Amino acid sequence: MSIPVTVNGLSRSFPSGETTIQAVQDVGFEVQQGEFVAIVGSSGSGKSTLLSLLAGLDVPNEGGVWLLGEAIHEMDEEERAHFRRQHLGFIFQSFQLFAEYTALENVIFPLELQGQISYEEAVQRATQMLTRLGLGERLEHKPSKMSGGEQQRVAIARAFITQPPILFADEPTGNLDQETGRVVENLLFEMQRETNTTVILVTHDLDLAQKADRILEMSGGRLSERS
Amino acid sequence: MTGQYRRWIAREFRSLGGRLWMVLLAIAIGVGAVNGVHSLADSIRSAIEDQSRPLMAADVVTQSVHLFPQEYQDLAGNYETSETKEMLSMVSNAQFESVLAEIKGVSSGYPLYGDVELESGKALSDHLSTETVIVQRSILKRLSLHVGDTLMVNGLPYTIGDVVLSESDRINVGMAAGPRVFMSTEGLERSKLDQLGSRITRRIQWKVPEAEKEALLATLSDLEETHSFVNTQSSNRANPSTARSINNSERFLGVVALMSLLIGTIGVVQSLSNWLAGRRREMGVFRCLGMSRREILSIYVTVVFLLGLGGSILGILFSYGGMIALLQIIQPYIPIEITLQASVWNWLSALLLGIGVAVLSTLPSIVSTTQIPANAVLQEGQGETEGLRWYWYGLYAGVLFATLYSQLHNPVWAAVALATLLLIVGSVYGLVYGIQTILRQRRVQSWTLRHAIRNFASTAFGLRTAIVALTLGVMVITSIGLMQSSLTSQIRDVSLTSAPTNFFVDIQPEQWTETKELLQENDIQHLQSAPVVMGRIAKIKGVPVSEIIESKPDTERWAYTREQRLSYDVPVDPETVLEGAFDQSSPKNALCLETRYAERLGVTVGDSITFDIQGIPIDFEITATRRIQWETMQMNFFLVGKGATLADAPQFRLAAGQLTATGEENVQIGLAKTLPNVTIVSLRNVVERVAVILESIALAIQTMGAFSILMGAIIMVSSLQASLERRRKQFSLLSVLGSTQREVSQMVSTEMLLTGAISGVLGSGLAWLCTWGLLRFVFRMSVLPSIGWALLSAALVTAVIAVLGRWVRPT
Repeated sequence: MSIPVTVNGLSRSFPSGETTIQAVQDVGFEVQQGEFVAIVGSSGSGKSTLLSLLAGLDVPNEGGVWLLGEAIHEMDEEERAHFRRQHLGFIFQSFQLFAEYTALENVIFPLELQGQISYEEAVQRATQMLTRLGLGERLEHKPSKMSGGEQQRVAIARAFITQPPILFADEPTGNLDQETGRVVENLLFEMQRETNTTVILVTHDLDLAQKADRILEMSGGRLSERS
Repeated sequence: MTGQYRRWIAREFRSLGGRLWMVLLAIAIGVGAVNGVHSLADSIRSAIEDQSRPLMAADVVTQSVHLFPQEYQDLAGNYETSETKEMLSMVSNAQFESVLAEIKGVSSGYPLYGDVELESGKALSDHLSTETVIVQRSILKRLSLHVGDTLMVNGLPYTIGDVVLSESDRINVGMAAGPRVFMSTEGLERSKLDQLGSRITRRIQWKVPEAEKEALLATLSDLEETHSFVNTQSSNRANPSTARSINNSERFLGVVALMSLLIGTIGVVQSLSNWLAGRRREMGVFRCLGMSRREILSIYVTVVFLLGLGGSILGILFSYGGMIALLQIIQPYIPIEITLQASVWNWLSALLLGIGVAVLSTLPSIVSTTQIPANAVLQEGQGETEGLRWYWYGLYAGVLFATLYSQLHNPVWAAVALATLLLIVGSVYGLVYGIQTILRQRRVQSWTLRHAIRNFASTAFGLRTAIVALTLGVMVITSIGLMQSSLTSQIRDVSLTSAPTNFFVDIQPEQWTETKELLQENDIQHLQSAPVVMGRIAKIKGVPVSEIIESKPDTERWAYTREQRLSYDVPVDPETVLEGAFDQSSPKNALCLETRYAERLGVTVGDSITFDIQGIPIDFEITATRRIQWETMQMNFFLVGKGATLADAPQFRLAAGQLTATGEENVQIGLAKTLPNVTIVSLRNVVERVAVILESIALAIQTMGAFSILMGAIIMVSSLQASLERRRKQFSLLSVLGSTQREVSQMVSTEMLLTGAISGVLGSGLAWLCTWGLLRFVFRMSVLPSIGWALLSAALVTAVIAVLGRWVRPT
């Protein structure tokens, strides 16, 4: 079985006027199956850029990323989009739910994108998932009618609904109050354990990061293991 | 289309929310305006043609001085047609007293439209046979004949069956040489007047359904390529008085349709671009979760396609509903019956146009928005999309060209219109950019004013594009208004109040005093008369005509060899003289020519023409060329010479004036008693009909202008409102930071005042220039558009937009 995430010599720079910003420099690490890895760092340290590269949302200038044994840095945009829909899940800081979709439709969307099961089956699975997360009564509600915590729970359901082998989370509790944040945090860990999903989480919340199996720290575009 | 795809599209529609109706409405108004303009134009054109058909007794007329080639005869077999042959000939009574008459041989079915009114009240065909003729009353008087007597035509006897009172297609009375004699084709054949070499004007009148008319005209036009001596007229060109107005009104309606389309497109692009801009975040999430650009593109293109379809259907319904209501309102004020024309072809064109405009005009925006990178949802500032690639501008130009071509049906005009449009857009964009740059450098004390100016000068919110769109909209709307005003005043300037109802032909010089007295006794108004000397051109610039015509095609020879009517002692208005001068100081043998006739003869001021007048050659020098307003229906002459030269030549007098119906009858009786050789020709029906047509055209132009202006104004206001909607977040932020509602309103009002003033002044200024150009080069009119209306438009736009700014409140 291949290693879920392998990163080697990864670098990414952006032109800024006449200079170049080195956002990620020579980063390399591996993440094992079912491992929960937290990447921490101050603002502007390059965490989000690294997450974009790991998830195939951006391409490196140098080095490469292998997810489930496949070199996503060598794929074209179309292939990366298909890889994401089949194998990856996402949770974002500002939830990024579709404002005009109901909770159920938001959760169903990745299943529709995969196109592997019927709509009825997708509805059934999404209903179960949302009920499991305590949103059984909110299936037909739109995000604007839900609290931040509820919205993030919908986002968690959307991320896990396809049972992705790898999940990327970007500051999942960043927009929530402390109490709601803890609830969401616990749900995330609970779901991860249940599904044995490999999770890479980016956060500046050290309390949250402490709960991960491993912490990596970004600083000035470079990555180091934090003990 | 898969189920999931359908669901995504349905959800996108849901995302439009209340905006769905706004987008649909913008498309509907654009398509509705175009379809409405086309339908109403078709309806009005059809109604006007209904009025014009009797003026030529047909939908289409082909005319030739030679025998019609077999192809024409074959083609005529496929349609309902009639044939006429007209010629001059002497007719006499049994005592061989004779008079020159205009013989008209007509086939059965003539006239296909209009009436030939007979004294007995019967139809022409009831009385015409191989043995009979129908004549004008003056023939009976001059030859002392009665209905039932025998009239000799070319030495053969014919029984007079009835008296003709009027014929709707006898328009060119100014050139009439004698009273009318109607014969059947068979009767004319029996007379043997139709011989080889006879000067006969032959006509085929065609009655053709509107849908087949263009095809027939195209076939006839093809035939004309081979047979250049045949020419074709369609019923909307029947009369010089109406032809120019109809031409101009058709051009105007075409321009209005095109401009409405432009306004509609601006509205559609503005609404859909605003909506697409609001979907950028969702597109980013789609991309991140694994949807490909192609999938996103196909979803949004399908949504816009469906919006285009829905909006177009709504627009078609709007346009017909609106037209029905509009016709009900204006019908009582229009002297002709207008029936709304609705055709499947128009509906399909409107659908295609609506969908095409919606999809093609927003495709670059959709493509540009779908370029949003997949990592935009993770990293702020990474969501900026690249500008359009060069080929999109090419596609835009192609789409615009195709749209313009679909309306103008001429590639050169479409290219000129496209170049003008691009020039205007470029200039407006440059001017707005310049003004924004200047304003950005201004320092003002008041923070609200500072903020308003900064907002106005900002490149964010798509304000520059909105101002450019608004300026174009104002330009289009104001142009329509200015054009409408100029065209209607031009049409109404062609006053028919002094147009003669009667012409009097063949008055001998010694009879003029007596004729004049008779006419004045019967209260003739606007009496005019002129001596007429008949002659033929012998030489031009010293070259005999016989040599000149050798190199000329049949169609042009007529102008050189026909008998000419020269007049003198006719006032020549110096304002109508285009070249040279014609007054008392002119040389003795001075000649003034109508400008187009001079062009046809290939002569100009300073050239010489020798006329053969009753066997005597007289040399003239062309000292002036002049323009004649044929549309006034006054008595006019191609050739006017100096009195001293022509006064002694054999001549007769032509007179014209306005008589009442009773006066006309009395004059007829009076002339018959004492001046039987004088022929009276009635133009009453023609004048009345032409007056109706001109009034209808003027009303049509005003109605269409008002309709398009209203539609355009609605689109502009809704598009500006949509642009302001995008700013609500900013206004809310200002409110949260402590700005009072009054301050925010003040800021928005200032900004809108600036927007309104710049759009109003630029748009109205450009509209004035555009209208001037259109009137000068498309409508061939030398009038200046009204500066007052342009200024009023600028002030109105400024005021309306400033007031609109007060509606926007932070939420």
